[in-house]
Amino acid sequence: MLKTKEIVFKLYANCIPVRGAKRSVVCDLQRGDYYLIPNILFEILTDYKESTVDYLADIYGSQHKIDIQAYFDTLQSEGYGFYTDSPENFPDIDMKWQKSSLITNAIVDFNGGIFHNMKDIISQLDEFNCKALQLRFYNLISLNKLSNLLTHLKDSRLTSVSLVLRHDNNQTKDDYIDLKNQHQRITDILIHSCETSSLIFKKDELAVEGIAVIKRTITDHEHCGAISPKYFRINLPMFSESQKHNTCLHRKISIDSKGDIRNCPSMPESFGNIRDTKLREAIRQKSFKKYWDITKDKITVCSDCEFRHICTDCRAYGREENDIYSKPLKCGYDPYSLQWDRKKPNTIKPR
Amino acid sequence: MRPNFHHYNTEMILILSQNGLEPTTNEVIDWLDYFNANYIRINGDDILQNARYSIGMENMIIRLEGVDIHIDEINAVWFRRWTSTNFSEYLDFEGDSRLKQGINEYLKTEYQGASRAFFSLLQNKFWLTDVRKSRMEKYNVLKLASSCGLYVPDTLICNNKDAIKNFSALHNGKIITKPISEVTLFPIDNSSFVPYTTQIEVGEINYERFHPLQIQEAIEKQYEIRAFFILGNIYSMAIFSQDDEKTKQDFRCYNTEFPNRHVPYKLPREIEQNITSLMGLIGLNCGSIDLIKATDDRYIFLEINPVGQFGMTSHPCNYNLEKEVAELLIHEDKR
Repeated sequence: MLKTKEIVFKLYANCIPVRGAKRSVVCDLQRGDYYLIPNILFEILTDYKESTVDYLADIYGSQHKIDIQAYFDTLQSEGYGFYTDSPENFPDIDMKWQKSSLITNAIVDFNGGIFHNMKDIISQLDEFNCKALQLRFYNLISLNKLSNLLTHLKDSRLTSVSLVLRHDNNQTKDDYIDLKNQHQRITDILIHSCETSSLIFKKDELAVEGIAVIKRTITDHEHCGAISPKYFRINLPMFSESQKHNTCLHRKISIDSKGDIRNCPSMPESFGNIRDTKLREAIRQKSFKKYWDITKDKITVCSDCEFRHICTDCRAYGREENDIYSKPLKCGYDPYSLQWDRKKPNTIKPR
Repeated sequence: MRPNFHHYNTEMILILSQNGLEPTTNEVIDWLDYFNANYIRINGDDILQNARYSIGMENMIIRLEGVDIHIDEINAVWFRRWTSTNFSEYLDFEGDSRLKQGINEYLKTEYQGASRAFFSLLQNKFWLTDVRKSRMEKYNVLKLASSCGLYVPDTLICNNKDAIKNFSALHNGKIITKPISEVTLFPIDNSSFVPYTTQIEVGEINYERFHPLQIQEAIEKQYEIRAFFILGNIYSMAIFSQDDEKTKQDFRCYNTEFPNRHVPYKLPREIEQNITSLMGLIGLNCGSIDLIKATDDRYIFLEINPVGQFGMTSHPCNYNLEKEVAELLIHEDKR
């Protein structure tokens, strides 16, 4: 059984090829980028995994030997793979997704009117061992009031908080930076409705502070659900979760601006109001998890898309209004023509 | 810390850890909560600050954050780490700096003695990493590894230039030095010096005799391997810190722009068996083992870290070791 050691090409286990209708992509889960490849190379890398170039030349014809070698050399020089004589030592990554949090992420919306009792909400989220929270303010909130609210995070198990704030003309950029420095759990702040130039961040400053400023006014939850390469999340937790679960709604809980508990604020189903319903009672209702296991592989068009394991989904706004398996409304990509529709996502209307 | 405690339960996991920068402990605790396990966490610093305790000949009382810890309830102990206190600043007063240093040294020794007494009362429990085995004599471990059939780098501990010269000649001038004992950080201003593995040129040595020094043959590597051993199971990861030998000539410079690849690895069965016998010989049921895959295809054993951060292996390879540790502690606790 002793076989001579042959040199074969292998992708690193965290560089995973995904096939689309017309082309494929290598998802680099360590570096967080992707690399487009033709479908023929996908086939070579998967169906003929760990074959020698000589063997592949027998399959595809010896005239293609140089091209196959060039494919491998390019993938190697781009840092996606390596040559080895012992591929058996390099197993694939197990794609089982396991998290100790019953809810991994939560959204709470504020729109004037009711001011949620965040102390109570945070302690309820702690029961789930929830790690990430997004707070979205469509109306003005004073930074003082916000800072008081964020002090409730101090002993919580949440590790990251993301903020969407309406710009207050009385605030300077230092005020926002101070807020972020004061509360270590804040990972990023999006400031909307900023018409004035009073809040000019230099470009590199933005990246360092994790603060982004936009002119557009975000008035309600309907701004959400846009799909674009800039929202791709190329990492192992996301990629593995997407194998069996929905990449937006799985283990998510939300409280909308009226206090209604939903899977996401944009979803039609409400599971009670936070006034009189505990979050744990809400998620116990059978249909709360209705969308959790809708993978991209089950969604029309997305199932043929090469980006399906790195892109976030949206089940709230679909192309077909009564089809829960329809492609996200605000996705402009067509995996058959390989074209991105440049229309602003929020101007697209469902059929 | 959130003590999770029931009075009439006789199952209790004790976690011995340290304050701050301990993501691994926190992740295991998240899983213990997920499985509704009972546990209590004591950080080494608690013995100095927060806890009230009395350790008798047969029993002890520890009260931490209003909770009494009863030794009879504890079945499983996870020794993760113990203290992060810097004793040189522990007691500060005006006066002679040598006196201050002497007193602080003494206080540190007394604290360590108290800690050992505490551990000693727990010695009949199940330990994931027995604290008494957790201090490694690296030189000894190399000898034991070699006796278990593992290749180890040829090693010399010496204090003179002639010895290095002879050793260097044996290894074609390719030698390195690294600490004989634990790596220590020397803080300076806002950064620190680390005595790291360094290549040695015999010609550059200016002294005939010096402080004890460890020299090893330099081993050209294909990649490094970090293997996490837990009760006979081994989870390995390859680190491409050096590009593959076959491509090194062409792509070396290019590849340094990218972070090293961290990918799952499966050691040959024979090497896994050697590691298992070595761990048995030392009496460790858990630890991280560093190896090198040399360019001549040999696996070279470097060292064992009994309390290494296994998150660095678990996360990139999706091994979920934090969950496995939690399940194992629960299993041993219920026995």
